[in-house]
Amino acid sequence: MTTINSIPNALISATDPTGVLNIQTNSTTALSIASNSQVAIANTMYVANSTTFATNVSMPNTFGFKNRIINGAMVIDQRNSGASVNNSAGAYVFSVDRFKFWGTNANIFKVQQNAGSVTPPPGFTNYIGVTSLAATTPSSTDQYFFGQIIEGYNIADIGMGTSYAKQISISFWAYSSLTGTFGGALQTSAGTCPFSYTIISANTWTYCTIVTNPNTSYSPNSTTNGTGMWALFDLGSGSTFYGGTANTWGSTAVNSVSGTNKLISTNGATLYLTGFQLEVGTQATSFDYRPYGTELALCQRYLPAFASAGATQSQISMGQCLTSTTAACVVPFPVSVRTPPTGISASGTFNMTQSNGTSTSASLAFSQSSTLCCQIIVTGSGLSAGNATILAATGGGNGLLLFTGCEL
Amino acid sequence: MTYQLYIAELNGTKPDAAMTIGQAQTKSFIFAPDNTDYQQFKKDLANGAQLSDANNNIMTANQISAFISTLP
Repeated sequence: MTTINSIPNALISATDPTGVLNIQTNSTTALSIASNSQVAIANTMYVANSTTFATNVSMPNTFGFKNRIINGAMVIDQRNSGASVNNSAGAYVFSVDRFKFWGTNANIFKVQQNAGSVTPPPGFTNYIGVTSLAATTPSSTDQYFFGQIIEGYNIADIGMGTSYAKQISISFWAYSSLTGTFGGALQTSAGTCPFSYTIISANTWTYCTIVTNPNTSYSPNSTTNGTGMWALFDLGSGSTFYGGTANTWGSTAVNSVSGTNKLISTNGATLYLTGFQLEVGTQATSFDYRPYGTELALCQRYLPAFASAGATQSQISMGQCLTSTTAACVVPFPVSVRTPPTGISASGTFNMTQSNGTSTSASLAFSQSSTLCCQIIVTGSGLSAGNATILAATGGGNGLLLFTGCEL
Repeated sequence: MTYQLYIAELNGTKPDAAMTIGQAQTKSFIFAPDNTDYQQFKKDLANGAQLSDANNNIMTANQISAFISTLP
């Protein structure tokens, strides 16, 4: 091959008949042009101006649905509308949509969208904030973490547990009152890939990137509508849940590599996070902003919800009176949900207006559901069996109706 | 926490669901193991929560215990 080599104070060239041209710096090939004109660049290429591709572009990072995390910018909070939530004992609580929080004991930490009201990192308007409520020393088997379960359909292409498994890159912005190394993990039911990230300056947003090794050994729990994998951040689990090799899949179920910070062990300590992205590829790339409507629809697959949004009379659905005290109303979902809901959670005030114009206050109870709509039993008074009725939220915007059981 | 049983199926004949009573946020659910409210319901019953039958009669501890044993 013909070589042009730039070394200190000299330019060396060597020629041969192959037609291959290598351009080197300090005897290391930076750019190679093959005899068929194909160009290979050994390191990152920076382009100062626009770039035009005459034909196809192919790269490991995907273009469509690049970020497999839903609501990674922490914008949508259908359940709490920005209110703070304390963790429960041995049960998940939700803050912003799709992010769930676990604690072995109750009231160890609280979570809230935009907790502390700090300025989000550039390009973001929201974040999720965790605040430690005590100086807690976890027992060896305690777990405190938060994260998101990614649906199987949304990670099936990664090929986890196969010889063609692709690498996963994670990126996010983190902000903490503590400095040092924090941890997290990717998990399937069989394998775990712990990782760590470091915050050098307290109360300063830090952009963190992690590239994991391919997972050729551990299959996801599901490649359909069940749990595909966990992506979680540790908040201070017990020693049982620390270990493994950073960025490498193994069989030990851990929430972090060893030696990372325990947020819950410092009373009042905070950890804020946003711009969470999990993508296929060997390098973390810029955050995948999706239209608000798209992101909301992605969330509604797991939590169809109706909020009255300030109106004094917000119509929800129509139904039919069955007796003088009950009616059945069918509420259509905005998107097809992951799996039919199995319950509802209703707060605020609701009423029914019959076809004869009379209204009655209403209480709601779950009846039956499909992936497209839910039947609700509505109880009131003064109804006439056979009349049509309109179910509405009243009371100036405090009506909230959540359909439960779709979330992972 | 106080709960009441009810019949969720329109043509049902026996209680197949429960709802919270006296809370600002009313939760109602069928007995589906994956529903987190149902999971909490079972925990609360095990910890002595009050439960009424579908006719709003408060169930005794023995009745609740027998009922729990029938849950999925």
